[in-house]
Amino acid sequence: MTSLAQESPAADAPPDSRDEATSSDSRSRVAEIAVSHFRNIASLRWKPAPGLNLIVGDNGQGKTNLLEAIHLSLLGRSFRTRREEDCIAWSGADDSELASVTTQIDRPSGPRVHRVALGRGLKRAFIDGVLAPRLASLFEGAAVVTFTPDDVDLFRGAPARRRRFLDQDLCQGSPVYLDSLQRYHKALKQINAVLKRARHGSASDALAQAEAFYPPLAEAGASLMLSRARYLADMHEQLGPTFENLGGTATLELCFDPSLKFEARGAMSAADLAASIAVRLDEQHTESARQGMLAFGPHRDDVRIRLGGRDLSRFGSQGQHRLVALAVKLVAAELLDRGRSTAPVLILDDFGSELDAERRRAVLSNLRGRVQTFVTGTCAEELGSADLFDEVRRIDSGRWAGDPGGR
Amino acid sequence: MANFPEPIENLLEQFIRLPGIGRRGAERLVTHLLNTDADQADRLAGALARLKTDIRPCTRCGNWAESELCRICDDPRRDAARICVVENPVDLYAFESSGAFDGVYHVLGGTLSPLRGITPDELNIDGLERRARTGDVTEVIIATSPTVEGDATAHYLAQILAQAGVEVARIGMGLPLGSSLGYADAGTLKLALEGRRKI
Ligand SMILES: [Zn+2]
Repeated sequence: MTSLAQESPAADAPPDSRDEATSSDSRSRVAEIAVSHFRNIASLRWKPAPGLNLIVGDNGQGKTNLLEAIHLSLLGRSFRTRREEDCIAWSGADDSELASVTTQIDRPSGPRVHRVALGRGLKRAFIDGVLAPRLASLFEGAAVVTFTPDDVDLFRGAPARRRRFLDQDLCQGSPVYLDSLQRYHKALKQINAVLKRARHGSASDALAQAEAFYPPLAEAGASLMLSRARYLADMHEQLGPTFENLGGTATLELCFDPSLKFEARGAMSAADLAASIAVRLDEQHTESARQGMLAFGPHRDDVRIRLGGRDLSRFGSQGQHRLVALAVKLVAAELLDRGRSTAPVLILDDFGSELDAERRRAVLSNLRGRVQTFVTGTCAEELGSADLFDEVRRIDSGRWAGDPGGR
Repeated sequence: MANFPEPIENLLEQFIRLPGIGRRGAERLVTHLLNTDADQADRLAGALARLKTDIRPCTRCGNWAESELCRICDDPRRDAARICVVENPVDLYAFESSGAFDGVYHVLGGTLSPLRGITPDELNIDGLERRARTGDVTEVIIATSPTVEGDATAHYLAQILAQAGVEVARIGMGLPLGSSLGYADAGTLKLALEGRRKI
């Protein structure tokens, strides 16, 4: 343990892969990653392939930890936990021993280095060696779509899960969306603070104060709703063919289920929608004050999905849900790839269970020639065969095993 | 932890109450003051004492003033028919240094924030209403920050001022989203003023 800890400064330094021949692929990708004191990974470096990467290992050896580290360095947060301090492999009493992940991203517009460091109660992101003013700055240079085993519940879990999925993808696709989302939630909190107080008295004062926050809420809300509607319409269009490619047999339909119904005519402008939301807010004010909160709006939006004409939230096998969620994530990656200059990285943690061999193979062949992808599994053969992957690495107790597995 | 002599602890405690100063920073300030000549400490003490005795809010606009009225309200060359509403004196001085506005100001003292308990009563809104109703005012330009709270405050004021029969405008949004006016450069503030729209 001590000797590994001493190696950490080397792993901490920005990776340098500029001497490597650049790939013919013009998409952006993770060129090199260096992980230090992150969960069970004391120190690890890797230059993944531009295409399809497989990390194999037995359970608990650090496969998912490595994916989590990649995610953290690209977007500034984990996909597994909100308590990121848990990711730190504390070595002794010295608090300065931070967990850190450094990633060099090669992009058509030039390389960019992300470094995210965790300490007790702190998280810092650096872009090209300079402290980023906010974590969201990382989004400008990287994008990620993640599939985790939890996503099998994407369409039968609570609506919040689907909103989170929508928001995550749309925020990565557009800084305007991120800004609208933050403004919306700020306005919502202010309004709820007024309404909560109005429930216990002083109604007329409260009305004027809540009304003051309705226009900013309506404006941000309209922008969110239109973006979500457009995004889900694009997703719906591609979902059918993708699902079929993965071996799905029934028709798959996806649609937006906004909390505030509106007619998504092509000509609907954000200003028109904001005006009609504002009217609804005024009409509903008395009811909102009675409930002590705003019970409708984009924070209550949902997504509906139908498989073979039936609402998937109410039926479907584990395997069906998994395949649908995978198809949705693949399309999400495709849309992000199309929508911005920085191609996303696709992370698939343990996608294969509950799928038969044929479908697993279909998923993997679908990933070939697309965005850079990281997949975990217990062995290459379990997922199909090693020849489907551009790179196979075995992780053992947080370290690369001596020989690349599966080859 | 061992304490410093009482006069030092006393000053440390006062420094720590200031925004942005922690124990370490306070210790540095005290060390510095102890190591410099007595004059500097006296000058600091004098400046602090004068701050509260010599500066008071302008009775008309709420700006920092040395007498009843601030220098702007007291200046006959200013166009008293146009009022620019700002959150605080720092924003006011930002507009002043841009040189883009020759009217007068009104300082609110913040923005509405029910979450933090800032209701209209906490802000200098009554004073603005009174000024708008005198008949001398033709236009009120609301220059609160382009944050959710700044926008909400603008809407709230527009509702109230609509009854006073003055034209109400909001500065244009050439400003970076969510930013504070005090940090905007002169050119940006000038454009924001020129790009104002009626609300
Ligand atoms: Zn004044």
